[in-house]
Amino acid sequence: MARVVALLSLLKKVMLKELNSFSSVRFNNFLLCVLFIMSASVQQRRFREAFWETSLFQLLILTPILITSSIDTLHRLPRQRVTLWPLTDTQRLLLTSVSFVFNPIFVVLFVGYLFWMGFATAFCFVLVGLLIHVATYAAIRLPSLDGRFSRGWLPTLPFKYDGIVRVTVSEITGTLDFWAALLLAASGTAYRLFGRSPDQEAFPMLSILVAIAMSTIAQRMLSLDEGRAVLRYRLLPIGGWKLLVVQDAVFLLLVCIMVLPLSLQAGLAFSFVAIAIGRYPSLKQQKGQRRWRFVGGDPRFGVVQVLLGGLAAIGAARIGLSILAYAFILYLGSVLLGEALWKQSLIS
Amino acid sequence: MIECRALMKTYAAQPVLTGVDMVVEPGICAVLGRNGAGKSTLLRILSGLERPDQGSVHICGMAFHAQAVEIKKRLGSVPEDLALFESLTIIENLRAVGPIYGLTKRETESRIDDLLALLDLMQGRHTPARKCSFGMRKKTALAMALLHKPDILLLDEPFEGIDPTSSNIIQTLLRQLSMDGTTILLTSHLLSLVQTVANRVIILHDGGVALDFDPPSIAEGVETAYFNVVGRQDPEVPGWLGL
Repeated sequence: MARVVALLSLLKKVMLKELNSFSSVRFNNFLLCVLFIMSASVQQRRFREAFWETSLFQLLILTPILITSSIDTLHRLPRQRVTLWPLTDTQRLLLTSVSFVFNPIFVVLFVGYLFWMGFATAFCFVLVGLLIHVATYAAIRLPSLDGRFSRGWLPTLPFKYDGIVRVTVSEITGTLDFWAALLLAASGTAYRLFGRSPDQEAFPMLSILVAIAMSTIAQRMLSLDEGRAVLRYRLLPIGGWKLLVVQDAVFLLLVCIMVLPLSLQAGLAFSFVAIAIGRYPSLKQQKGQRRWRFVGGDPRFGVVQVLLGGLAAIGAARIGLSILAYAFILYLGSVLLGEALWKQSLIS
Repeated sequence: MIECRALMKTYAAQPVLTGVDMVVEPGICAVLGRNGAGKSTLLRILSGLERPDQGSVHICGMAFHAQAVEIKKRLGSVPEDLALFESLTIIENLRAVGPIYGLTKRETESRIDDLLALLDLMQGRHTPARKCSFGMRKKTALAMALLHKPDILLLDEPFEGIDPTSSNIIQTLLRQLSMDGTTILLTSHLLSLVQTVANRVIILHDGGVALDFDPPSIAEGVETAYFNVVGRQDPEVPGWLGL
C-alpha cells in the first residue's frame, strides 16, 4: 500500500505541475458542446427534462472525452517506467482508477452533474466513467491496431506536396476529434435522409457541431504527430505559407465532405474562422499531440474559435455567401500571419 | 562550405555557444564535446531550425534569413530527434520528401530502393516509423537526408544506436561522399570511430571551439586530445553500492 501512496503522491505532483500553466490544461472544444447543451437547458429552466432529452447526445460526447481522459491518466507517468516498478496488476489498475477519478475534467463534470441532477446521477456518472476507464485499460493492452490502417485508398496526387497531404490525412484521421465529427456527421445525415419531416433549421446547427468537433485540430495542425513532423517541415525546402495552405486544404476538404449533406456554408464558414484563430497556437505553442485521442487545445483560443466560428456559421447559413467571404478573408489574413510566424524561430 | 562567425546562443540565461568561429570545407568534420557543450545546438542553427542570438551563418555562401529555401535544397540533415513522420511507414517517409526536393517520382522510387538496400531497411520498409527500433529510425532519417544527394550533410550522432554492420556501411558511404565533394559535419561521442572516419575534429568546450585539428596530425589520437581539453573525472562511488 505504501508503494501506491508514494505513486499517488508522485501523480499529484505531476498533475499540479501540469496545472501550473493555464494553457497546459488540455482542453478540447468538444467539451464546450457539453457546456452549451447544459446552458441551453438552464436558460429554458427545464433542468431535469433537458437532461433526459439530451442524455443520448451527452453519452455520445462524453464517452470519447472520458476515453481520452482515461488514456491521458494512463500516460501521465511513463508507461515503461511504471511497468518496471514492482506493482501487481491490481495495484496498477487501482492506481490508474484513482488517478482517473481525480482528473480535473472528471471532477468538473462530476460537480456539474451533482448540481444538475443530484447525487444519484453524479454517482452513475462516476460508475460509467470507471467502466470506461477499465475498458480503456484493458483495450490498450491488446495488440495495437497501429499499422493495420493503410493509406492505400488515398490516390497519389500529381503535385510535389502529395507527401504533405498524406501526412496530414494520416495525422488528422489519427485523432479522436475526426472520428467524433464523422459520427456526428453520419448521425446528422441519417436524420436528414431517414428522419420523419426533419427540421431544416437543425442542419446548420448539426454542421456547426461537426465543425466544433474538428476545430481543436486547427490549433494543433503542426503538432498532431507528437510535434515531430514540424521539425521535418522546417528542414524541407518549402515556403511556410505553402505548407500551411496544403494542410488547411486537407482539413477543409475533410470538413466539407462531412458537412456536405448538412449545411456546407455553415461548416465551411466555421472552419475558415477556426483555422484562422487556431493559426497562432498551431505555430507558436509546442504541444506534442498523441495519436488516438482528442486534441488538447488552448481553452482561450477554443472559446474564441467556438464563439466567432459559431457567429460566422450562423451568419453564412442565414445571410449567405457574403459572410462566407468575410470568413475567407479572415482565413487569408491568418495565412499571412502564419508565414510571418513561420519565418521566426519556432523553437525559442 | 559552412561558415560561422561569432555564433552565440543562450538558453534561459545559460550561455551555450559564446562565439563559435569556424569554416568547414568538403570532407568529414566531427564536432566533439561533453553533454550540453552545444554540439546539437550548433547543428540546429546550421540546419536553420534555430536562430543564433548573435553571429552569422553562411551555407554555400548563402544566409538563412535571405535564402532559406535554397539552402535547404542543398542540405541533408539528421537532427537529434530524427524528425520522422511517425504515422507513416519507412518507405512512405521517403516517398513524402522526394518530390519536395524536386525529384521525379521515378527518381524518388529508384533512389529509395537503393537507400533501403544500402542501409538494410528493405525488410522493415512497411513498418510505421513509431514502431521501428531506434536503429531503424536513425537509418530512415539518414536515408531521408541522403535522398536528394545534398552538398552539405549535418548529422547529429549518426552512429549511436546503429548496429556495427550498418555503422561500417555508413562510414564507407560518408567517406565516399566526402571524396565526391560533400561537406559532412557530424557530432559523436564515439571517439575511436571519429578517429577513423573524420579528417577534421573540432572540440567544443565552455561555449567555444577549444581545439580544431586533423586527427592524423596529432600523435596521441582523438581520445587523448579530447580528455586533455574536457578533463577526466574519477567518480567517487558511494559505499552503499558495495564497490
